[in-house]
Amino acid sequence: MDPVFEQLYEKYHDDLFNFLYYMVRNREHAEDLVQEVYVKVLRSYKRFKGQCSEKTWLLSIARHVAIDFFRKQKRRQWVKTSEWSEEQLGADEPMPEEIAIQNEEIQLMYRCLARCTVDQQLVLVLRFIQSLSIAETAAALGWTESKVKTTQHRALKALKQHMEEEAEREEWRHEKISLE
Amino acid sequence: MKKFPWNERCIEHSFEQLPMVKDRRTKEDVYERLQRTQRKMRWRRRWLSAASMALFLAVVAVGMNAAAPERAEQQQRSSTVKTLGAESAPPQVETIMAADATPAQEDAGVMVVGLPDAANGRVVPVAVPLSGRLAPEERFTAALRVLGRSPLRAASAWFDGVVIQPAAGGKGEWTVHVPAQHRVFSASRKEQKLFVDALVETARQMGERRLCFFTGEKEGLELPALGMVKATKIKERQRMYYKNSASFGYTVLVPAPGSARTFSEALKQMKTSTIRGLEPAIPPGVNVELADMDARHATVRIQLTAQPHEEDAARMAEAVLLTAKEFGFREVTFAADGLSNLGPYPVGMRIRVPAGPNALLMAAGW
Repeated sequence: MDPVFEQLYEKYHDDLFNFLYYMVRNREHAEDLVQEVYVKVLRSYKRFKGQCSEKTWLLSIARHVAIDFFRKQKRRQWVKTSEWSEEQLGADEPMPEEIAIQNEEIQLMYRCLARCTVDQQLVLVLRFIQSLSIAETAAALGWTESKVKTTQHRALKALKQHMEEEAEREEWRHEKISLE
Repeated sequence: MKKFPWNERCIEHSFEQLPMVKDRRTKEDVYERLQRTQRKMRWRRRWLSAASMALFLAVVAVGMNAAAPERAEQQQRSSTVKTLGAESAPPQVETIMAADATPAQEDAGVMVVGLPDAANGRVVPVAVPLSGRLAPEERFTAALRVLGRSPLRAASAWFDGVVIQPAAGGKGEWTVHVPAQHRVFSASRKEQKLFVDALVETARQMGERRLCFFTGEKEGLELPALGMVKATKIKERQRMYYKNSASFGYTVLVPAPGSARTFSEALKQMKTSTIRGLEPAIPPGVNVELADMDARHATVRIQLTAQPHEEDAARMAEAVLLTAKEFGFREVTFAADGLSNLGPYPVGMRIRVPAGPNALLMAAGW
């Protein structure tokens, strides 16, 4: 086994897979994409000069791979929105076991995350699921820190709104069922 | 709207509770799949480079194949036959009569000018040899200079001061500027019509599709015979070549429209003439028919029951070649039993169609 692969796998595989999973919301797609990330990483590992941490570097490659995936999917499905918001791919995927056993609020958040734009999702996943700092997130995304802060603020606001809308719909649905 | 208890901090906190979704595969599985992916990508890279190399070689091979017949054609052309009256003709005339020409607009060495023959009321196109490579806008003036030194100077004098040049940005569109004091404005109606016909014929022979007329810099030509002529669209039509025995004192070939839809039909129609003043270029006792055609090459079979005069044979061959050109052929092979040549044109060899007719007129009387 390639020692570079072994080392990267041991250190970062879970984070990498988790990041890709939350972005594409499909296990098979996440598996495919993680392979793609390894191919790219192993090809360019010698050129990595350590300007940022290895994890940040890996996540920046994973981010490009995920965006490429969205582009290809978008072409295939003729999704005509400039941002992948309402028609976000993977929105209808079944919920993974890990989430299904969580409380309703977590499940609601997971569903609503899919309604945010790709940039908003990237920031939310990197900041709060991968627990990267503002600076690390900025390095992984190739953005300025202020852009990360602004996007994070808007993402949280959007997510809150989506959650409220979704919750209201759910409640209305519950009321309707109980009346019947 | 109902209030929900979420604020941003609360959402951040909930986010941190989102579980880690793990890959269910083992490290070995992931590595094996990675190797498979790498192999596939290496194979794809190799295949792509091999395919692009094969494509490159194919393009080179096609290019070489295309160049080879061109070289053969050049060799063939350089060793072409002596032409009608070659002994007396200047070298540049020989070049034209050697059927060297591509369509007029592509042949920088020849300019075909339609000359008004007022005595016969016809326009006679004449292939004028030009020396050196000239820009399209220079060719008409250069041709007029050559014509001014030839026996056709009287006919070409109709174009004194006239400038024909490509219209700015217009493909296939040319402009004709006629000086305000030009003799055409005081000419007879017949001469005025002939003058415009000659300009149109010149443009047609150059392969142009539209002519715009100007008097000086003012748009249009105000001619009593035609009214105000601003522009004319040149219709694309196939014509056949006939003999006119008395233009400028010589026997010339002139094109005339016919009803033939194919070159084969045209060859049949060329045996007779219903146009007043024009005679068939195919002499009596000669049967001409299309034997074969392949893309832009035609084979014309000639059967003789009586031996034509050499000049008639040459004129017939030239009329056939020019008519073939009208129907889009670039090369013609004459097939005739017991004949080695028709005037300057060899039998059994591919002959390029001429740029235009009557090149010999330029040599006459020199």
